Amino acid sequence: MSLVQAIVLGSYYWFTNSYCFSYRYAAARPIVVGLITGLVLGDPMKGAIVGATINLAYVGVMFVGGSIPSDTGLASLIGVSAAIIGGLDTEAALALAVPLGLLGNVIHYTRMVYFSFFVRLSDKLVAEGKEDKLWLTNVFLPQLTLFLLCAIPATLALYFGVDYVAAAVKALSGKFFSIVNVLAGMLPAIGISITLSIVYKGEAKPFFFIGFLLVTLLNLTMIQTCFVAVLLAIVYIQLKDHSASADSQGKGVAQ
Amino acid sequence: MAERKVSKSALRKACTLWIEFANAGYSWIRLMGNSYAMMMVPIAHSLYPDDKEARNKMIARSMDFYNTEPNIGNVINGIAVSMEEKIANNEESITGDDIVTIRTALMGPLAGIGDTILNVLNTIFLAIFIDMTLSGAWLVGPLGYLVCRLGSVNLLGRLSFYYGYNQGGNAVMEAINSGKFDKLVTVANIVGCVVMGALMCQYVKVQTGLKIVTENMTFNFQTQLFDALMPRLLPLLFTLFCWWLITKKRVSVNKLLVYIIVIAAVCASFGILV
Repeated sequence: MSLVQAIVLGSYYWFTNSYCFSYRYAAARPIVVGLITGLVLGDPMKGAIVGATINLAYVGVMFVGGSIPSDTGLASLIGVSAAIIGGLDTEAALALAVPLGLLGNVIHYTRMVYFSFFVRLSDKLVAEGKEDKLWLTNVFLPQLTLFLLCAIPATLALYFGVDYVAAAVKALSGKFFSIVNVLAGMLPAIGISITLSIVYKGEAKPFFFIGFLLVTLLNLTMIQTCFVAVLLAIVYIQLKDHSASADSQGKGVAQ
Repeated sequence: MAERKVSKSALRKACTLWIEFANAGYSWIRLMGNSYAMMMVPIAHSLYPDDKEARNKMIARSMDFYNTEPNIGNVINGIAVSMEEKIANNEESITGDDIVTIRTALMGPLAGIGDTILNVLNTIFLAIFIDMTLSGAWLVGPLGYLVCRLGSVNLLGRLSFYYGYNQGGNAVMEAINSGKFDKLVTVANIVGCVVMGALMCQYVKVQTGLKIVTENMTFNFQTQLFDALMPRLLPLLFTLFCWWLITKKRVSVNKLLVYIIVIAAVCASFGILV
């Protein structure tokens, strides 16, 4: 990897952690990071495919109440780079990315603490009647420091580290791989159960098992399942409205 | 005195500031509070073009704790802008405290609605476009995800802001109380549940390698017990176990992650899981 490539990718690492611009909603998804890393390193096809494979472990992972379970940006930047530069196959790249993602989040918790300093600065600005300058203390300065905090270590890690990491993963023996394989199969359950903690409640509960059966028994694809899901929801609402109005009529007759 | 009205360009500017930078200064102290104040700056300029003191007063009372889902939650900011407009026109019935009250009252429910809708949408996008990428459309997959994800976020954020601004606080409260939103959430929950059930089948892989080997027969738990009962029974039980830990046992996601690593390491080492 050339220094320029490392700097570009290191800077992108800031993007995955910045929570800035509406692009933040896609920035850290491995499927996107994979394509971008691939473009920078000259093999967009491999990048996208490795990125999408890593993304499988993080489907459904979301940002809830100020915490995220994994640094998917770091995981996929280094995993995909090691696949393209170090010649790792997709499975080995996943084995590298998953533990890296677990290591991450350091940046997230660091920023959640030290950004408080900029909140105080903002208070001071407004107290001095300079509220027009709020973008300086609420966006520019925090993001500038965050950029340095993210981009410098990530650039160094990518420039000096990727070859060694790739070689180390290649040298690792079967046991490590079998653990990571089991782990990678279990990780998607985290994202899915986070989402379930929001949607799996009350009257919607049986529909989780309907979704399970649609794929297990009928082998529907994702898009087909989505259509069925929307129709099921519409029918359910219609029936519910219908029985609610029938209920009120029935009561009227009984009285 | 002529009626004060927020200009169209100020509305657009505020809405964009929020959508792009709602989380830019995110920290434990105030979460999105200061981004809300920052969003109000163009509104203040539009309402009080030549009264610096009034502008400062308005921003100073806008800086408090605030946290919601930034896109659907933008309804609240629209409402707040419409209330600021009324304050600027000296409507006695509304004060700055009322704005804080309505923001605090709405930020929880709308975060719930927003998290549900956006996360279900995002998961569907991911599932579809990861599939596409892996089955050969390596350029269309990631780009399709980008377009759908960013498009839906920007569209919903803008619609929500103008909905809140045009309807005002009372109408939104009424809509929430009348159950209109509940219906929307029910639909999202049902679609979400079906999709999660399907996703779990595709992506969660839990398989046991346990076998009982005797002299004249081998009993394979995976193929002869679990697969015979119901294929993918173990992933189903494991996912429900994770859900139970998160919702019923209040285990944090990071802790759950550690548990899973330990389970995977131990079970894989002893061949319990393969």
